Amino acid sequence: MARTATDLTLQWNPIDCRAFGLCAEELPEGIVLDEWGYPLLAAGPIPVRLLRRARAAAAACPVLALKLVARSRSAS
Amino acid sequence: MDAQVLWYVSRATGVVSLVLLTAVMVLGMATSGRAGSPAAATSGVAPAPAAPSRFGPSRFGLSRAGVHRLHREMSLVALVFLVVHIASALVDGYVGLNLLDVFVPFGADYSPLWIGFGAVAVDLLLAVGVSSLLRSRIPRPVWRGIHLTAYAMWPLAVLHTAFTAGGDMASLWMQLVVAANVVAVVAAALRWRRRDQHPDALARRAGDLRHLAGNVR
Amino acid sequence: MTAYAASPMTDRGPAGTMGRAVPGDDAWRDGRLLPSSPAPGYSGHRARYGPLPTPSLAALIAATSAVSLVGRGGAGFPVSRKLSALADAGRPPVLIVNWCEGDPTAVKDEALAHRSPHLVLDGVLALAGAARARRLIIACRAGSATAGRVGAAVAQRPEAGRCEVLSVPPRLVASEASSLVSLASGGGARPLGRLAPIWERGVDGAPTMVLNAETSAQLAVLAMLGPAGFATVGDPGEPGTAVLSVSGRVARPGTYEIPTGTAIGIPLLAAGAPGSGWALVGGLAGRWVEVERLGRTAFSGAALQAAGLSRGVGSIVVLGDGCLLVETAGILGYLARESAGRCGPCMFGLPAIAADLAALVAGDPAAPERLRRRLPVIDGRGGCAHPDGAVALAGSALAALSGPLRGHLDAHLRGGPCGARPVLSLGGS
Ligand code: HEM
Ligand code: SF4
Repeated sequence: MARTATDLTLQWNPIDCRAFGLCAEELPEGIVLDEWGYPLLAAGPIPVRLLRRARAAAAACPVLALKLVARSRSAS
Repeated sequence: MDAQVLWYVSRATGVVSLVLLTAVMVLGMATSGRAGSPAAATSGVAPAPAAPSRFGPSRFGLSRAGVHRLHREMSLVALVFLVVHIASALVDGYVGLNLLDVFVPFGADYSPLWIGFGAVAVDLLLAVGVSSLLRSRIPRPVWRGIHLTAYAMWPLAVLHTAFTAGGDMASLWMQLVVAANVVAVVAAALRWRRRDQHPDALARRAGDLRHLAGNVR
Repeated sequence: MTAYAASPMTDRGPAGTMGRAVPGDDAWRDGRLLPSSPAPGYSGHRARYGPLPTPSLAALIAATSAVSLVGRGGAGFPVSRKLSALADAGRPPVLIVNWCEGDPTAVKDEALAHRSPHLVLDGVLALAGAARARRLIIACRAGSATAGRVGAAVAQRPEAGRCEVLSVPPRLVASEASSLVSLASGGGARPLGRLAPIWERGVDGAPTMVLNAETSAQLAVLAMLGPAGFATVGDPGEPGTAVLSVSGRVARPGTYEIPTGTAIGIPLLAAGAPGSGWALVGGLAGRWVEVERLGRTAFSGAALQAAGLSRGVGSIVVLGDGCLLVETAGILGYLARESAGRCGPCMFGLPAIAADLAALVAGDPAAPERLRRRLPVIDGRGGCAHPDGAVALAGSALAALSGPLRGHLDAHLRGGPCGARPVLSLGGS
């Protein structure tokens, strides 16, 4: 069976985030912005089909507040 | 004959570098002050989380993320052209430059002042580029301080172009190219450069002040 | 009757009259952490409690695990797990005693500084020896009475040279664990975020453990008595004692040391609390509960959890004739002002829900819906637990107001403010 989920996830750092909102443009399926402009991330691993755009979302952040990390590391 | 070719390559890539740097500057300024970032609706209602349609104006027919991406990627292209520009000038040898003159200003035998401006611009550009590539290791205020030296780099690059390229500047097309670059950057600066007044920035400044006051008490 | 020791807060006169807490050794006759007659000075302390214990780290891990000791600062994390993390890190750690009394509903840090400062210091010093700590930091709120007392106690000790007393700005979030780490590393007293655990990389990059002052004192008692001696009182599942701060509309506010598992009605009775109405349990990040139900609840992690509560910072604010809605709105306003201003959902979200609650006090019928939409958006999205606590409190108030207090909510919706005055007076900057 083909794998549909990666073992990667997006990790958001609320202290660094400055509400640029670019991540939600790059990955609207996985990121919406709250009423103040800060991202709300869909829970769980990133599906394979969205991986490229999840990478783009992380790369788009001007303050690097969004990172793609292995799921095991983010669970705490 | 080969030497002639290099000389042409150097002049052409020099002009292209300037145009690309101008484009990078304009794109950078188009993002200034978090242009178009969705922000707190200050009314009492709690709207549902925003869809991308609420995002601010796109520029150049691109999404905001697209503008940022083009800014990053075009800066690398500009660096490539600049490397070719410099390498061909060095190898060509006609103006008798050495590697040191590329980085250390005002020591060149040929046109030391204007070549020197070019050298300072190269230094600043390298600082801006390298610091951006190492962004994750550099505290944001430091990165940003270095990044803003782009505003000093660009005029030096223009002066370097206009006055080193003495012969070419006699031609109308070259005058037009340089003038267009200057107009583009000045227009972008007037139109888009502004202090960051996004609610996040204001709230952060207020928080910093409160924090400092708490330490004094 | 159930034995427990009551000791009204600092300088409020003689200890409560309600008997003795701990059988056995004379040293523990009338309260473990808060004896009614404090030992005079450091030499008096040593004369009463014997020499400073010198356990191994492995022994401390085993002992804290045997008695299920949990941190008393609010998060309620098992101490043995924190100690194991230090052992696993394998590098000399930095230890910080959090003696800042961040939460304004708690007064136990002050009581400990007054009655048992050396017991608190014994705990962290024993741990420092066991873990070969590289730095030992005692964090107190700048300019507080506690800071003065702690400084004086440290100066009396032979280990004074090992202890750094850290002066912490008088703000709520300044005493959050990662804020203390930041301050002790030479930065500002603001949270660093939750992504890099401090027990791996804390002060100066060293593994770091932050102990609440009461936790440190409990650790000292445990090291002195051993797990069996420690477990002679309290709930067998989580033995020992706990220090409660009781305040609000009560006749005798103060701190009460009780064996774990004691019905909370007993300290409430000692404090002279009314038998009905509502109380806030666990601090400003706590939950509302009816006093009647609270009185029947045993003070232990499991029993509190079963009642939908948690021990938090171990404080109880009795509302009396106050209004739960007015009180919650006041607290949310304070929590919003006390945000460290680093995370968007906290610096915008808390003022938004504080405004929603204020609007609800004034009778805005749309406010509950706004709150229901906003609370889950804010929850868990800060760099520290500050907004989570605010969300929990607001949620608990909303539950009470749409349940047992429905009638009172309707009165607000019809007629606006009910005229009740806030029970807590919260400053804030
Ligand atoms: C090497 C040539 C580059 C030049 C001349 C340049 C120039 C600029 C300028 C003029 C701005 C506008 C600053 C302002 O006034 O707000 C800007 C913004 C920005 N640049 Fe560059 N840049 C260069 C390379 C890069 C690279 C390589 C990256 C990323 C890897 C980058 C990332 C950014 C970002 C994220 C912003 C927005 C900053 C903010 O609003 O805080 N730039 N750049
Ligand atoms: S959640 Fe709030 S208090 Fe905590 S770090 Fe972020 S802004 Fe500061």
